[in-house]
Parts: sequence; structure tokens; C-alpha cells
Amino acid sequence: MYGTGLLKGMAITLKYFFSKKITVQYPEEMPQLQERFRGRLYIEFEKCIACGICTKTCPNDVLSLEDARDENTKKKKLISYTIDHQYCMFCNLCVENCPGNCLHFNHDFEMSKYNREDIKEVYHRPPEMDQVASSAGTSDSGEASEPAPGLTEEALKKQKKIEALMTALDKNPVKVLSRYVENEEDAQILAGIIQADRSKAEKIVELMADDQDKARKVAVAFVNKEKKQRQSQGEGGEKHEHE
Amino acid sequence: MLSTERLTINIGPQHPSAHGGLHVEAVLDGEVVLDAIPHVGYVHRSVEKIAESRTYAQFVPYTARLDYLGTHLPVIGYVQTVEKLAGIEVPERAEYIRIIMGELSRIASHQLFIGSLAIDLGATTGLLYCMRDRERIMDMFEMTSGQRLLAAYMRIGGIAEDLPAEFIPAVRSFVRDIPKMIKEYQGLLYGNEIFQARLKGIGKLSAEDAIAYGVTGPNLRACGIDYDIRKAEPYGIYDRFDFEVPVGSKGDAWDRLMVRNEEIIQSGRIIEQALEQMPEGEIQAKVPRVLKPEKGKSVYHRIEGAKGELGYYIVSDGGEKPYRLHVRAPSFVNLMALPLVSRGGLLQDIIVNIATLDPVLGEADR
Amino acid sequence: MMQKIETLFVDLSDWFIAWLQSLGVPLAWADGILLLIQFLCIVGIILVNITILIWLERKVSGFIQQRPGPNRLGPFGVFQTIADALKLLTKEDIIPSKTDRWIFLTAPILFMTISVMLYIVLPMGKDMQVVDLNVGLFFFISLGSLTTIALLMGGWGSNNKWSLLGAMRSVAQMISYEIPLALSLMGVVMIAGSLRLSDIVAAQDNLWFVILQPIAFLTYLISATAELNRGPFDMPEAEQELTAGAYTEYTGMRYALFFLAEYTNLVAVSALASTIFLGGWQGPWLPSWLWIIIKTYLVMFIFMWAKWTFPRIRMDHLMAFSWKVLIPVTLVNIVATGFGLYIFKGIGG
Repeated sequence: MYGTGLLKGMAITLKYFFSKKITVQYPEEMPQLQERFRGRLYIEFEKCIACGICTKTCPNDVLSLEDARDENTKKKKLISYTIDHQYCMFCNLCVENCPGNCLHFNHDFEMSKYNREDIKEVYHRPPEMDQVASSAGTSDSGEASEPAPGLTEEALKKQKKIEALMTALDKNPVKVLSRYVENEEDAQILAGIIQADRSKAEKIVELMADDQDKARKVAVAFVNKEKKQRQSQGEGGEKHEHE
Repeated sequence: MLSTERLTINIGPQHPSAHGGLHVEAVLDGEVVLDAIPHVGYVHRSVEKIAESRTYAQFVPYTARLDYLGTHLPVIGYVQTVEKLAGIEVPERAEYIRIIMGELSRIASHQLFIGSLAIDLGATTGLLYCMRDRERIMDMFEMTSGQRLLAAYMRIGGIAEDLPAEFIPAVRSFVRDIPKMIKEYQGLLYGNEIFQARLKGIGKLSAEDAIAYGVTGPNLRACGIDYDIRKAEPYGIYDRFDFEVPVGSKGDAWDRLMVRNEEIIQSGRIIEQALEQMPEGEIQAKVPRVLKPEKGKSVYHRIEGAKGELGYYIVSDGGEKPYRLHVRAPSFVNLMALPLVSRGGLLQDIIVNIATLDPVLGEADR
Repeated sequence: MMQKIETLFVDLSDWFIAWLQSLGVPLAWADGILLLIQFLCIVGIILVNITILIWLERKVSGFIQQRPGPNRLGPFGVFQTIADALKLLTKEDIIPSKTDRWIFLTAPILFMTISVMLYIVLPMGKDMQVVDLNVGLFFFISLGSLTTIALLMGGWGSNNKWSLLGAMRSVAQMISYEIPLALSLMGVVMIAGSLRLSDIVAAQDNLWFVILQPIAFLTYLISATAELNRGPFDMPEAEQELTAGAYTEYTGMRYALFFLAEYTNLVAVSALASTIFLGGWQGPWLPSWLWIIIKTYLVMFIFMWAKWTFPRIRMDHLMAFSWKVLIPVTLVNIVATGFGLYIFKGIGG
């Protein structure tokens, strides 16, 4: 009969009218992503050996890096790494060709920003990497950050804090010390003391990790002692000159 | 005496049924179409020029963006051309995986064809059912390569990564569901008398005209000519599979639809056979890091894309980048048959003709 | 108790007239004031129905397509229509310069007015009509054909050849489908013996007319879909190739008014279908004015279901279908009904 096809079509749509909905309510429910989904590119900075293969492989100039040669080990080290997602084709060539396996895609697909400049992601070299290498003094920088075995978690934390403070002191002593004394002049004096005498430095740093008040008192004491010494020296020196 | 005037109207390029960015200039006399001239070029991205400044391996993701609806097929064409140029032999397992991915892409492209034809005619529900079924294929693509639509999964010499564990059961369950899916399309769309009245007898293309214009693919087979590159000049390992090539008889829009419908079923058969025959092994051949083919060698290789004969012509000058790359896009050639097919019909039939010739503007404009 | 709920509105209007008379108002004036209030109630009913209908259409289309439809604004998305209406109200009202201004501006208003006038004769419950005309059905059908004038006014006043073309096509379609619409109702009139709508409802005490006249029901639904310019017959309106037909040059709230008028027509036609074929307000247990609401929404669901399943019919097939298929079928139906009545009366004596 003419018209049965139409009725069959209506039967199908009626069946689906009463069936379960298959859509995902997006901001409340996240879609089910498969394991190999290519979301956002990220790099594991520590593993990168700055070989530059990824920048040469990328068809669209998404990746760029800045490197320098390490003075001690004569190997290349990575200073900064830039990923500019607006040109990326998500082709996976960079991930496959990386010899150190440090580029990966994670499952983050919400990448919109308000300004075009914000799409670019720049990874800078974290200071811990240099500090770990210098405090270990050996070429296997990966090992040195691990503390001696058998220490408790508290002690581990304290040791890490001490190490960090030491590095900070080495880099910019005036800035760190000016938190513990009154003015910058005193901080400079204290810096001089610490650089001259390493044991004093360690003492102060240990106190900084533990008890801030005590550290402050000790710092002020050091500074006053030094000032007195200088005054007496100065007078003595002047006296000496005048003679 | 009353005089009549010819009307010229523009369909597209911004249009719900323009299939990308197609501009058709229709010249009408009342309701009857005198001419329908397609203007392409709105999606031109100079892919062929870009190819001259990318190495052979770097160009692979760009080819996926040509026929973006048949996900893996244009990529397969390109890598096979480069392998022919450089004389690289692909391992067995990679060939089988390529066949499976290629046939799944063909099914996805034809499903989208059916859906967009339905919505061009006004049955919006048809599009959504086709998209829902296509989601299963896209999930399978996401499992293997990580991308749903523009997967750059093929590499020169083989495949990028091996199949994960959940892929093969998913493919098997999809292939088992193909008959049920076709039955649903039959009930909702093909069995519908209105649908049939809109498509039967519309847009007839004769066999001689089809060959003269260079139309290939399902459009050619709908006119009655049995020519499929997978059977005529088998590439890859297509000669090991047993499948039929559906051929139409009248060359009208209904036959074009039915040929594609039947091709979905045949692709299902090929996938089943490939799953049974697939061996274990490695998935990528040893390709030198910087591929430099012989100087002065040029090669043309073609595959049966979802829309027709998709061919790549590469000329090498001995360097790591091709000297010239040309893509023979089937949609561009098929679309030139639009004026011939639309003349003498009604205005609404231009939409039907565009939809059944199945152009993809990314491919037509490159 | 149920009796009280059943006759709630009738009692209210009786009380109102009695109250006005006690204040010293003469009967004719009290009737007039009641008429005005009833008319305002109809406008209120229409507005509420349209709001629900637009939401219902989107929900039904969503459910058919296995998605939830609007569900963010309000529980189950019920405030979506209000948000859309507010958006349309804030749009700029553009009137092209060379239009025939009065015709252009009056067309949507006329369309809406005619659609609202259809409700006057519809029985919304037992004894609940605004005016119980003895030619109620005839009034309804003839008003339905006046809407073509409004469409032509819209198309002509836009000063745009595509609008005029689209309007002319719409008018051709609507006129062609008027005839099967009227003819399919004639069978019912023959059986009931009267054009008064309350008589037709009363004649369905034992058996609904949908069982006696199934073919007429089917042809009525098809013709009504074409009359309303929706569903598989919306070629003049959804012309993706040309423009939006007669409505091209309208913006903002005027555009919305055309669509509101179409939905108003939809409710009116569905209410008529449920009155004539499905027994009107008759039904067990629930009050009568609730039954007609249920039946009207059932018929509207059928309209929506058909719209979202079928593709569009081409213009020439549409005309051919009406003149070559529907009109002969309805004429045969009338002849068969005549024979049936003759035999039935003969048997009955």
C-alpha cells in the first residue's frame, strides 16, 4: 500500500522518542576520552637534553627552544622551551621522534584564552636544577637530590629547606638576609660575615629553617658584634694613621 | 506580448547545504534551471605549494586535511605514493591495518553522505542518526591514533603505533551492527515515499558523459560502468579480499545513493576478512631518517578514495623536499558535472544534485 | 465535588452576570462585558499555549533525536521560550524604505487577528464556547482561508521579488489544500446532521467519529499540515535555496508574530480535530475542559512527530498530490458516507 514506508519511518522515530538520551551535559559531565587522546602538549623539563629534533620535525614551527652550554659538563642544557599551540596540528611527529621521551600529550582540551599571546606556553629552567647540580658536585645530577637513606620525613623536609636556603644565600645574600635585620646596610655587613666564615652561615641557615625569631636575634647579634669590631678597628686604624 | 526574463540567483557560499564553501550561480527561467555554474576556490589553502617546503614525512598531516571526511584515505594515498617513489616495502601487518582504517573511513564518509542528503531534503532526524552511528567509528579512530577526525596515523613505511587491546573487539562489534544500521536507514529514509519521489529520476548522468567529464567513484558506478580501482589496478593488498563492487543502472540520484549504501556493506565484508587474516609482526619499515628519493624521478599513484579516484603526482629533485606535488582531487572533477546534470530540472533539484555528487570542498579547492 | 469542578467556569460566568445585574447593569451590557472578559481569557489561553508549544516542539524534536532539547533555563528548560521572546523584543525593527508601509505593517497583525478569531466557536468544555454559532464549522473553515490574504500582504508589502514569489507559492499551496480540508469534514457533518460544533460533539456520545470516518481523519491531518505551512509541506517557508519566502523582510517581533500566529493556528486546528473526530470534551472521570486539553495536545504531538520524521515534498509533487490524490479520496469518502447513511437509516427504519 502506498504510504507504508512513511508509517515505518514514524515508528522508528517514536521508538527513539522513548529511548535513553546519548548526549553528554558538557560542563557538568566530562566526555569519555580514550587513552591516546591528544589534548595539550607538555614537556618534562628535566629529561630534555636540548637536542632540537622536535623543533626540526614539527611541520609548523610550534616548538622552539633556547639552550646554553653547561660550563662544567660541556653538555647542552635547556634554558627555556616554548610551545605555541595556535599552530599545532596535533600530528604527533614531535612526540614520536623525541629520543628522551619527554614530550607528551595530556587530556586537557579546554585550551581557549582571551588573548592570542596567552596561548604560547613558555617553560623556564627551574632554579632547582642548577642548585641540585652544584650542591652535588658530581655529574650525575639526578642522584644528588635524593637525601641519605634512613632519614624520617621531617628531617628530609628540613634538609631540603636548608639546602634551598643555602642556594638562595649564595645567589642573593642581601635579599635573603634583609628579612632578618633592620636595614640593608646591616644586611650587607652580615653578608660579608657569612661569606668569610662558612660555619656561621650554616648556623644561621639552620636557625632560619627552624626558628625565625632566634635566627633574627642571632643575625642582629652577629651584626652588632661586627659593627663594634669595625668601630674599634676603625678607631685603631685612624689612630694608627695619625701617628 | 508578455516577455519573460531570466533570473540569476546565487546559492552559497555561506549556506546550510553548501557542503563546505560552494558557490553555485543558477540561471532560471521561471522554475526551470537553464544553467548551474559552480564557482570553487573559497577554501583554497595552497596545500600543493606548502608541500614544496616540507619534507616528505612532515607533509603527512597536511594530506589528512584534504578530504577531511574520509579520514585516513587521502593519507594512505600519499604514503603509498612516497613509498612507490622511494621503493620502500611495507610490512604485512601495517598493510592490513591500513586496509581496516581505510575501509572504516569509507564507511564514515558514506554515512555522512546519507546524513547530509537527509538534512538537505528536510529530514533533520536522519542527519542525527547518521552522526550517532559515525561516533562509533570516530571512537575507534581515537583509540588508535588519538584524534577523531584528522588522524595522522600513517607514516611513510607503515603505521605510527600498534593497535591497542580494545580496538579489535570494538571493530568486530561495529561490523556486526552494520546490517542493523542499514535496516534503520532503510526504514527511516530509503523506504520513505517522499524521499524516493525527491530522488528517483533526478539528475540523470549518462555513461558517455560521465566518462567524458572524468567523473569517478560511486558517481561513475551509478551510471552503469563497473570501474573500481581496487579491482582494476589493485594497490596495497586489495587483491587478497573477496568483495563485490555495486553498480547502478540509470545514473540518477537514487542510484548514486544506493551504490554508496551497498558500498558500506561491502566495506564491512572487507574489514571482516582483514581481521581474520591479519598477522603479527612489526608495523613500520626501516626508513632513513632523511628520505631523499632519486633525482628526476616522478610517480603518479592513485587510490579509490571515498569520492572517487584520488591521485598524487610527486616529482623529486633528489632533495628531502618534493620538487612538485599535485593532488588529483575527485571532488573537483565530479563537481564539474553539476551544470550538465542540473539543466532542465527544477531549482530544488540543484540542492539534491550537489548533495548526491558528494563534493568535499577541502578536496576540491585544496 | 467533581460536578463542581466540571462546571467551574460556567458557574463563574453565571455568578458574574448575576452580580453585574445586582449592581443595576442591564442584561445586554452584562453580556457584553462577559464577552469581553471571555475574549481576554482566550487571548490568555493562546499566549500560554504558545509558550508551552514552542518549548514542546523543541523538546519533542530533541527526544526524537536522542538528545534532551532545552534543559538549562529553568527545570526542564521551560523558560527557554521567554528567553527567546525577550531576545526577539530587543532586536532592531528594520523597515525597508521602498515598502508599501501600511500593508507591510498590518500583515502580521492581520494574520494574528484572524488566527485568534478562530477560537470563538471552539467548545472548550461542556457549554463553554464564547459564541455557539449554528454555522460554527463553516465559520471556522472560512476564516481559515482568510489567512492567505495576510500572507499575500506580507509578500507584496516587502517590495522584494523573492518574498512575492514565496508568498505566491504559499498561497497556492494553502488554497489547494483548503478543498480537501473542507471536504473531509463534510462526512462528519452528514452523520451529525448539523454544522453547530456542540451538536457534533453531542452526536459522539456512543462512538467517536474517528472510528466511523478514519480516512477523513487522515486526509484532514494531511490537509491541515499543508494549511499550517509546516511539516513535510514547508517548502515555501524553509526554502534554503531562495530566502525565507514571504517573511524575509520582517525582523524582530514582527517576524515572531508570524510564527506565533502559525502556532495559534496549530492549536486551533488541533482543537477542531479533537472536537470533530475524537469526541471533544467527552471523557470519563476528568472534567471536560481538561479532556479537550489532553486531546488537543495529543493531536499536536502527531503533527510534530510527522514534521521531524519526513523530508520536504517538492512544490510540483505537492500540488499534484492535492489535486490528483486528496480531492478524489475525499469525494469518494463523501459518496461512501452517503451510501452508508442511506443503508443505516434504511435498516433503522
